[in-house]
Amino acid sequence: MAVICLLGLMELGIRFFQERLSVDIQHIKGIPQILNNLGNSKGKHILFLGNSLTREGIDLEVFRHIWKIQGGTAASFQRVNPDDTTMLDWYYLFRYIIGPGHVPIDLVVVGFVRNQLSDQNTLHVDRLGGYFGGLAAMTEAFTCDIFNMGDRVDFLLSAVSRFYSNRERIKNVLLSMIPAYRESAQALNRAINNRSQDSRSTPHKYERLTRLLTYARERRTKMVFVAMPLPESYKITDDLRGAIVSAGGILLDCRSIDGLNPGDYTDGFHLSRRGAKIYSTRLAQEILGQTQPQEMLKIQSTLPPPGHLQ
Amino acid sequence: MLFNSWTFWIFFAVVLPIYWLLPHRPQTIFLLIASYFFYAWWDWRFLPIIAISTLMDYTLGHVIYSTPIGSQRKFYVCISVIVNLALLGVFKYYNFFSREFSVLLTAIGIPVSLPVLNVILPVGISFYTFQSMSYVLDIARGVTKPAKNLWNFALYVAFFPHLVAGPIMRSGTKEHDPLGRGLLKQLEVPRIFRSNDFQEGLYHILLGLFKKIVIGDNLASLVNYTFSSGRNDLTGLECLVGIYAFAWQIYADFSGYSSIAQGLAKWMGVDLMLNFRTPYLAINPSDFWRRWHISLSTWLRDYLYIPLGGSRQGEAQTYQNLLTTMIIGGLWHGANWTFLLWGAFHGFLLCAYRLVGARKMPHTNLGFLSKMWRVVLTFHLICFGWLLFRAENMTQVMLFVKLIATNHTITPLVISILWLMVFYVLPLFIYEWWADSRNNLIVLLTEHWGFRSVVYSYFIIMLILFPPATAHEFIYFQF
Repeated sequence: MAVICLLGLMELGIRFFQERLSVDIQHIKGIPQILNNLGNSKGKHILFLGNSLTREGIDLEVFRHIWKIQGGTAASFQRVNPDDTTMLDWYYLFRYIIGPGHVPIDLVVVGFVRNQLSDQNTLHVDRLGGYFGGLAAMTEAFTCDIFNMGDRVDFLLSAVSRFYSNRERIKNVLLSMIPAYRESAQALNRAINNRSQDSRSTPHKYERLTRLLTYARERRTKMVFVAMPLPESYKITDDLRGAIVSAGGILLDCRSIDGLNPGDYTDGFHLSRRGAKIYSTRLAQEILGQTQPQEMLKIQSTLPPPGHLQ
Repeated sequence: MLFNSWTFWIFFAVVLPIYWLLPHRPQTIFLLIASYFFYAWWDWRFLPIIAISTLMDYTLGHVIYSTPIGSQRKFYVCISVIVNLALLGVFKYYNFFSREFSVLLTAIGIPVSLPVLNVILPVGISFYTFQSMSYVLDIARGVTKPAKNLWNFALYVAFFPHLVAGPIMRSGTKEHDPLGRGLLKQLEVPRIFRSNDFQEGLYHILLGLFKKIVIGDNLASLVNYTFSSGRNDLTGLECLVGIYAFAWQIYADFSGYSSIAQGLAKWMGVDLMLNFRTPYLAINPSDFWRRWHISLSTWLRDYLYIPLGGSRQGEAQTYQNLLTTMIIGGLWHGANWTFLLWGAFHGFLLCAYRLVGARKMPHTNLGFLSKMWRVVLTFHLICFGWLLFRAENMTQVMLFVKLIATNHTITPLVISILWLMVFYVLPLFIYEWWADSRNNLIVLLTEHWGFRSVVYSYFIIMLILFPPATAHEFIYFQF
């Protein structure tokens, strides 16, 4: 009994202090407010969905400015970008948090790199259960995405306990206090990633991406997927192109942008402020250049459609 | 179905209440079905092997018991031993010896290519084969009686808490057994739920899960990184802390499994023997083997070392017996030269310890410093053995030894592994030191409930917060 009381106290403590645990939790908890702000704005509602690459890469002010001066229809813009998220997280986030809200979203711009849209990405059941789906998403999660018994129990525990769903974050905070941990953890992660990449020889699948596009179509939300720039180029497979286009989405290829150089990445992945300005400018131009979203948003664009888009 | 998986705990949550609702005989049959289901979860195709082994030893046990002492009885014992060892031989050793024999023949100018069996090793075969053999050998020695019925014996072999990684339980002697109550004898009488069984079981399970998940699995990533082949950028200190980490990984992993098995059995009213007694507090090699994998070391003592003559046939023969026993003990772990060398190394350690006459030295009432240097020295000797055990080949052993002797660069990896060991292992070490000094491994159960609650909460919080990035199988499942 005493053990249960102690654990209960831990749970209460985490519920009370969870937003101080990380900026990312603050952001996730703030998503309803972000959507409200978007809903309260006039014009079309455009949402950038992604992870920390989107957070660092999209400069909303620059994007808004370019959009306005190049004749884009009246629109308001917001970003939802929880850390370390990929396709599955974005699907549940859109399906269970963003979609059911009262704010109609006209256009969602999903930023990704490498294989972040594929089904083979790591399942973060703690986050799905705790933040992006919860018990409401249980049926779909257990039918379509989470088949392992252990993962299912983790999902349920995360849905009911904040202590459980935040354990990865608490662990990271505690381990970061260990001297030299960060350096050696990076080396270890590289070794693990190399091994897991070696073992992942199966072709990528995009069933979750298709589900996201199907749901978006039902809600009359247009989806644009943007292959974001990285210092080293990466492939976009025909399977991915096919999965996006056949389900009614649009793929924008921004892997290579004139003016961006390796110095515009702060850590080899995330864009610096200068890089974000360049990328946001280009992205606004690319979206305005697209026929389909223009029609949907009734955009008066003065730009010719760029030739290298898919 | 691993003890550190939710699947197992759901299975156990279904089995336990039904088990206690049933009367004795249906209880036994139900538990047998549950145990076979547990085993089939890995690979149902190996069920016939365990069933055949069970049936044969059950029959031979009765035949041996009813046969007068003499050559006929020895013949039946030989059949049991040969068939059991043949099972092990086919699944575990055939490919190794076939390969080495081919190499040998080729080296002397007779190139051959012997066939290789493409089979996987049945989980836990070394454990249940040895257990089954001990039953037959005990009947032959007149130490125990045959099982009253097949169901009891089948459950004795397949009892799921200890099926895949021990402890290797004896069937039970007619008289008081220093190893504790025999498993078969316990299964033949109705089980009763004793008042302290829940508390003790909970203690063993929480401690075992903590050892396995928090210590064993988290150290596994560091150890795998250090020992991964193809790394040529290691420093000597990285090798050294990698070996320390493996020492604690294998201890936490294996003793964690044994502890969970003890706890599960306790909740079913069954006592399993103690398999580990704070082995890294051993003060000499002989003491280490009284504390490490006790069910195997006592098995080897009773069914190999003593029948070989033990220490009764002069010093030279004693050394030979020690070496033979330890080499076979090493080979029991697997068909690899590194295991064989590990066994031989421990054999030499025991011989050397005996040779210097250290057995006559005082072992009790040692002062703190006197005990400390012995513990530290023994630990480092054991660690050298772990290098032999864990290394992928002898080239890696030589590389590690060379680097440890020559390269003492302190790197971030060294610092972080040491601190991670302090973080994960030190609380366990302090607890074990305390328990050892009180000569009571379940000393926590005698403490105030408030203190106990704090320790249990610590276990649970660590289990929630520090699961490994990837769950690992128990190391001893491969043996």
